[in-house]
Amino acid sequence: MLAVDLLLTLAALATAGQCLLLPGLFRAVTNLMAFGLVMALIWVRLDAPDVALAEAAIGAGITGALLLTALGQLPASQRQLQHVNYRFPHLFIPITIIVLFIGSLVWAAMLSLPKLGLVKEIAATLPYSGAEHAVTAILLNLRGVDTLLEIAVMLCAVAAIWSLQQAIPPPVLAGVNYPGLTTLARWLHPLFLLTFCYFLWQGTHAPGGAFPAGAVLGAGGVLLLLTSNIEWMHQRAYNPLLRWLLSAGLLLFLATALSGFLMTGTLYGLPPPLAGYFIIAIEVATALSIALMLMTFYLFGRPGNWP
Amino acid sequence: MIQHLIVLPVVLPLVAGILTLRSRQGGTRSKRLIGVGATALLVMIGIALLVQAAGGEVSYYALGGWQPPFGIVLVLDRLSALMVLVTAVLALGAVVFACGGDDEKGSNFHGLFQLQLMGINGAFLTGDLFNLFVFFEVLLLASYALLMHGGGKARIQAGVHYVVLNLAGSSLFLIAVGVLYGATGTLNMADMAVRISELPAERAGLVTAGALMLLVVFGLKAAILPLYFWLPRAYAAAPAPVAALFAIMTKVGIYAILRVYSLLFGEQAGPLAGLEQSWIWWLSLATLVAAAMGILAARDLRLMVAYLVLFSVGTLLAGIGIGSVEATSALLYYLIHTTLVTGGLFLLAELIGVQRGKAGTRLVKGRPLKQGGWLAGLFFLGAIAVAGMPPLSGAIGKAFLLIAAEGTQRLWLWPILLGGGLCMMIALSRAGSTLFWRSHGEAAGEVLPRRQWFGVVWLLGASPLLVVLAGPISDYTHATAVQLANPQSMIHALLDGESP
Repeated sequence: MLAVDLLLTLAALATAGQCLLLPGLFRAVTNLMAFGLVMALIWVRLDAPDVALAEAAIGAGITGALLLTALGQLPASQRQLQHVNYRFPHLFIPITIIVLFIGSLVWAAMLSLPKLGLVKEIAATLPYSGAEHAVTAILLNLRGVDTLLEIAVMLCAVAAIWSLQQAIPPPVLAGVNYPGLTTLARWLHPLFLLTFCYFLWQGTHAPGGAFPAGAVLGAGGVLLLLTSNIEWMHQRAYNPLLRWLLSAGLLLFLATALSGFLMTGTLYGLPPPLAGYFIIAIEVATALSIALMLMTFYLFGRPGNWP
Repeated sequence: MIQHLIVLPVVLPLVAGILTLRSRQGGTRSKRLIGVGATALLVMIGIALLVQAAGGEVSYYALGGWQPPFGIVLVLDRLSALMVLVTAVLALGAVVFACGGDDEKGSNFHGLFQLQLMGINGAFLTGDLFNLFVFFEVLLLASYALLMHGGGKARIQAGVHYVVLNLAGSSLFLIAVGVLYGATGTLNMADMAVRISELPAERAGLVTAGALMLLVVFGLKAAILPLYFWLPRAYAAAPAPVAALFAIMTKVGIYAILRVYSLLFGEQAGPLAGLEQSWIWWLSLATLVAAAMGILAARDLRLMVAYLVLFSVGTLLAGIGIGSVEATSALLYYLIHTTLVTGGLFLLAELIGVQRGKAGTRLVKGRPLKQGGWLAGLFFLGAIAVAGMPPLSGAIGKAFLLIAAEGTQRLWLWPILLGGGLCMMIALSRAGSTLFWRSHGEAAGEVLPRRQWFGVVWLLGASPLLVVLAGPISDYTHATAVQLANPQSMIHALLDGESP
């Protein structure tokens, strides 16, 4: 297996390097997507399949598609902007320094990695947390506030995009008709839904949960958005609904925090017998919100201008 | 009920933010009411927290009832209470100013403003390193959006610069937190302090690497010398109320340096104690020099104010570099002064620019100002305060700091700080005479709305107030510095007697 690991490391470094060094934005983007896939494989090798799936969906899929679409918006003259004449030492020296720095850090970290984390303490609290899996317990109960804030961060990102410009209606493959593509995306969607449900269900006892689930569903949604237009997201009448759905995860989180306050006297203090139900409710709502937020990134601006 | 006060600076802006983000454009009136109301309430909460913390007791709030070290805690001590109050006062001036019309130039201003406040307050209150990262993310993302509020090429260009740099900073932050967690096995800062003091020697290198990476991140946020180049353009391009609020953002970096290094690498840390000191001292002096040159070279009032922010960052960092209790006390006094006054100057620059019409804030001949007398008076007040001339608060803060420097430190700090003051005086008087005296043609334009005047007067008025109340305030900052120098009290309060 060592050979596979080494190969993966080399592939990661190579794609990352090509992403930085090759001229042409298009090549950089495709290399970035390849890098995302390699990273996903690395996560699999590190026994973190949930992270791997999120990485594949977000790192390779969603980011890549976002960048490609952005590239499509650029005038053709600017797509080849990177024609700077890189001389060898110019980039070689800083990159070597950075690689050596990170490499030595990782090396030092591996050599002196202690086993004194909080694993034992957290295992002791699991029965009171309402989740069977430590990661879920940490994400949604012990450090639930962090997750709540991350959802707020994503909401901020949506607001940031919306404040830039009006939404750009998706190209829907302008003028060119590929009937197979649309159909394929629609047929594939149930598969995404199924994976979504599986991850949500799995999250209670094994790696998985809201973030990978949301990422997968979001990736499926983006595929739909790119191949066929989802009209309601652009329509003015549905705009309030869209806003409600986007903030649903955060609102439910907040409601949980406040009801925890009412029941136990501390903010986000979930009473142990009910904690499991709260966690499931939050997982479903945040996963849906995340999926929808990832999709709204693809509107490239504030929707709601269609009658 | 009183212990729940600690979470309010985080929860209140979050609720207000969601309320205002939810609805589409229109309903400006209700959004303004929510925005101003929530911010005014924050000022009151800030005062209550300050009163609570003034006794010297460190209190904390365990979110979800999970006790430290694995739960997230919000910690209230003198420093965090002070920072929360300063933020709220600054934000009130900025948000009222924005209600004069700036909030309508783009969408979602008030919602993002509140979320930004949540991030800033959370960063000041949290006692957990990873949670600090999360709050940094919140405040950064909200600030990206606010920076580009209203659009325009210059803003988006400066914004992209800012986004990319800060994303790099964020990933470095994450790596640093990971390294520190790997080396110490905890994320709670008080717990980490205890574990660092008991650290086996072979892991010291790892902790040092993590700590210095954190210094880079906080240095980027605070805009220390090699990492400040994003600041002038971003601040000069931002809409005025946002730039005013950003006056506290560099102080988030300063605060983080103060908090993390005083707690984790205080005297109890043994060989690792004070590992950041010498770096910060020399870099701060270099930052001061660079900022002074920037102030002299600026051809635009907003850009000049941005460099004034940078100069204040250098001054504050020099205080950290000196490291004594007196210096910390001085820098905290100076921090209150500089945050409010530079915030006020950003707002004032906008007013001047609006009245000068096409010439804007560029330092060229333009049309005379319609309300020139009032604006010039306020400019005079702000300039004296920020340049550190007596009798306003800048002079007092600087004097405290100059006295706090000892031995050879004086040889370096005195000439640079005083020379920088001279540069500021030259640049500001040149700017003032260009803006208010070198004019031709007829005064035109509209009378400025009262809300905008309020914002400027509210913030610049803090300077005389700081002089009048200099006694009690410097007593408070001194007590704060003493508390910071004795991290044991916080460790004790949080870990309930676990500390040595």
